[in-house]
Amino acid sequence: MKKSIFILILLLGAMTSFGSTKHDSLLSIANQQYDEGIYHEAIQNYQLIIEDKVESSQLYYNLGNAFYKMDDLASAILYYEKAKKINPNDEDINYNLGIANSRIVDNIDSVPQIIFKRWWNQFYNMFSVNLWAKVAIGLFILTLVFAAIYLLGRTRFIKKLFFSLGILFLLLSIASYFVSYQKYYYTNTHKEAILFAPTITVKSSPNRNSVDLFVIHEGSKVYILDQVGEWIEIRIANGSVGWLPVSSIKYI
Amino acid sequence: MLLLMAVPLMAQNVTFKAIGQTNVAVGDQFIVQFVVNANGSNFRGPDFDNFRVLTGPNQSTNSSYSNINGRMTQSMTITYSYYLRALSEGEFTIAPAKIAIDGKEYQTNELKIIVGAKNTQSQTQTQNTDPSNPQEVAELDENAIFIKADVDKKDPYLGEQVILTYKIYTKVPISNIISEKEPNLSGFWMKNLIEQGAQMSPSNEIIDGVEYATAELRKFAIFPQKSGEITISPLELQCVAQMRSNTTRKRRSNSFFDSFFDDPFFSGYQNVQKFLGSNSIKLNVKALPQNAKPANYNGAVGSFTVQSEINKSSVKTNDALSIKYKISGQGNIELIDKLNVSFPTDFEVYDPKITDDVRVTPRGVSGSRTFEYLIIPRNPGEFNIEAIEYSFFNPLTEKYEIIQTKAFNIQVEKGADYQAGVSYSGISQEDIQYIGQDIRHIKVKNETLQPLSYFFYGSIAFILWYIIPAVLFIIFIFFWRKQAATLSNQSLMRHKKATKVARKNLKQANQFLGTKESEAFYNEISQALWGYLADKFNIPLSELSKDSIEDALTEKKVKDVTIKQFIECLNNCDFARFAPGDPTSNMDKIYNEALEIISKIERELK
Repeated sequence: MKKSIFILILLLGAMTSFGSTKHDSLLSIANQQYDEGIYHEAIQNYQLIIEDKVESSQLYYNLGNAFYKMDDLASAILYYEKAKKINPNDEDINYNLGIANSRIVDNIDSVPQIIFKRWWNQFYNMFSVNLWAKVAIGLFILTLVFAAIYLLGRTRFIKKLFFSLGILFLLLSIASYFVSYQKYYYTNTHKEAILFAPTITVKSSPNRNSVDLFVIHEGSKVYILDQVGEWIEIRIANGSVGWLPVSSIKYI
Repeated sequence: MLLLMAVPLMAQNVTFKAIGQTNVAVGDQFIVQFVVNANGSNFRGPDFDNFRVLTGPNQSTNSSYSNINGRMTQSMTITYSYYLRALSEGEFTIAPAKIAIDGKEYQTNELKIIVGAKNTQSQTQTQNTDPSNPQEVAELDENAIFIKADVDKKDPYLGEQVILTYKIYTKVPISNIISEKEPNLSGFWMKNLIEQGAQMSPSNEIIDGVEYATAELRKFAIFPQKSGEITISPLELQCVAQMRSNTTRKRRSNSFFDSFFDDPFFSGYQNVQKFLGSNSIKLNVKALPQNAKPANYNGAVGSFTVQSEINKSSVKTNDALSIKYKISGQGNIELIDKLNVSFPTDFEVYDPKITDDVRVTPRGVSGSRTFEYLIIPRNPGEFNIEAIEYSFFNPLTEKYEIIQTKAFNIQVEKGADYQAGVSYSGISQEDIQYIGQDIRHIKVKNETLQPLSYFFYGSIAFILWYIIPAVLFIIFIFFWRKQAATLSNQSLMRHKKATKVARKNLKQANQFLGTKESEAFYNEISQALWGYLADKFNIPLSELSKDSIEDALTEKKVKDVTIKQFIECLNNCDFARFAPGDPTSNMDKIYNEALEIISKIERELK
């Protein structure tokens, strides 16, 4: 009995961590190259790691920094955004993204949000999808522990206390589960992208001959709404909507 | 009075006429006037295409009042005059001038002007000649006098020094050189290389086998300020050429040049007025190459060196230091406006004192510009003044060059009057000064790498993390319950069997009572009493004592009297057992007591 539980826990642990010494050493080399100012080689090494289909917010952040140092702002912003997606509340990532964004051509004013929406977003962005899922599980396990104490408790006080705690944690766990679900759903349906064409005219419809609406420049963030063939419908932060060729952007 | 003013306007016939000489000679100065007898506005003169406008339009007003037979009249004339010079022979028409009077536009007549052949002045043996009043035409070779403009390079770089020279070539003596029109040097930064009024230094030069006396009239170092094709308009001037009369012409080619700028007071000379214009110069100014342009380049073109100097490297706080940067070389040195020296923020820095040492020579502008910075360290410590880089474009190598100064290290010690925090500006504390902005450094601590776009949410592990703890929980609860059930069964059995066991013990005791075996009897009685309670209240044997029994009984709400009786019974049993004398005497009594108390407790517990 005990042995099988131990094996199960080991299995679960193995499924969540994919450490590799090869990647670690490559990452250390790249970090050292960054320190020495050989940014283009650091970029190559960071990208070698990504080619193995692995990622981490640190990797993206460091790669973004290297691109920034090479004055490739669009790529820097792309990787900062990728890092932010994994670790939404990291101070360093947000700071550097802010600096990179302040250097691009377009200064798009975002539509102001009502305060509750802002609060919600802040709460929502506290953790990434995976962290929210882990929080939900942690709360669920705590609920079970409290339930056990409730069931086995001898005095009335203990039973009462752990009953209410159990209910509270169960509700919290369900809430975290839904936040995680919501985020998961959002990231899978709402794509964001960074513009890589130096200057591009946004069209009114997915057609080269349609009316020119406005011009945006390299490094701007766009939200993908739809795709028709080689054209995507985008929305920029101020709410304007238009069509761009899909080749001009890179997905975050 | 108001009425008076109004009258002439009503009673006026507007006339607007052009007046001027109709016959002039080439080189003559003459006047064209446009006369109007009313107060007009928006006067527009014609374009004098074939004439040079010397001055004009000059406006003059003449008004008069007259009272004839009690009637007031006012007459007023406004004259716009132009002073013109005829340039070439022929018949020319001056287009009408226009003016607006009371909202109506008036035009003058056209003016026909016949320009005749050149007048030549022939006031021989006279010095007091008036060049603008020529009298007689004398022969003068077209190539006898000319001005040549020359530059040392036709396609300079933006900001590169170009030497522009105007040279006069003459075969005859000349005097009274008066500038008519200076070359148009807009688009250039210019430095005059020949001082105004300086003595001309004539020399001889042979062109196409003909010997000319030459002199440099103007010499400029010009620095183009914009790229592209720039045309420098000609220098124009007039002079009086002295010619020998026809009888002496034969000798002209011999030794005429010795008399260049000679006193014209000579027999057989004619003074001839001559207008001269140089050729215009076209410069094709090249823009500076954009590739490999240093970031700190600020427009210097030429070839420079830089020296830096500090007067002391260790000072006390509040002592002044001076740092000199001297840039010297060939080029537009006076256009160097600033150096980007970054001083430590704790230093008080004054604007630099700029001293120039510019040498203007006929070969161009060279020299040095010195920036002297006075700095006062306010806080002690070790400070570095970084080396400054100065970049310039060298047109000879066609490359940007960067020159660098030394870096300075300054040791600042605490001076006698130094007080920390008390700053010179009167503010007790200083705000942090931000010098630059950069991204934050990379993260060195390695994070666990995950598969690309790996979602823990919805993965098998995620589901397992829900299921396994839940299963474990159920198993745990199940086993706990089962365990508890068996445990409670055991105590229930003990509880149920308690009376039975006690009875059995008592029965045994009764047997021993019959056989008078006191030791065994007391043993059984004690067993019956202790065991009964232990079983009944599920007390482990190790915890069995009189106190614990008393507690257990009190908890079960057994009467105090009964408890006392029970304890007494236990005591009696022990007492009878170990007391001296015959232990068998009390056996009956104790047996009955034990029997009674057990049944009593039994009753009370129900």
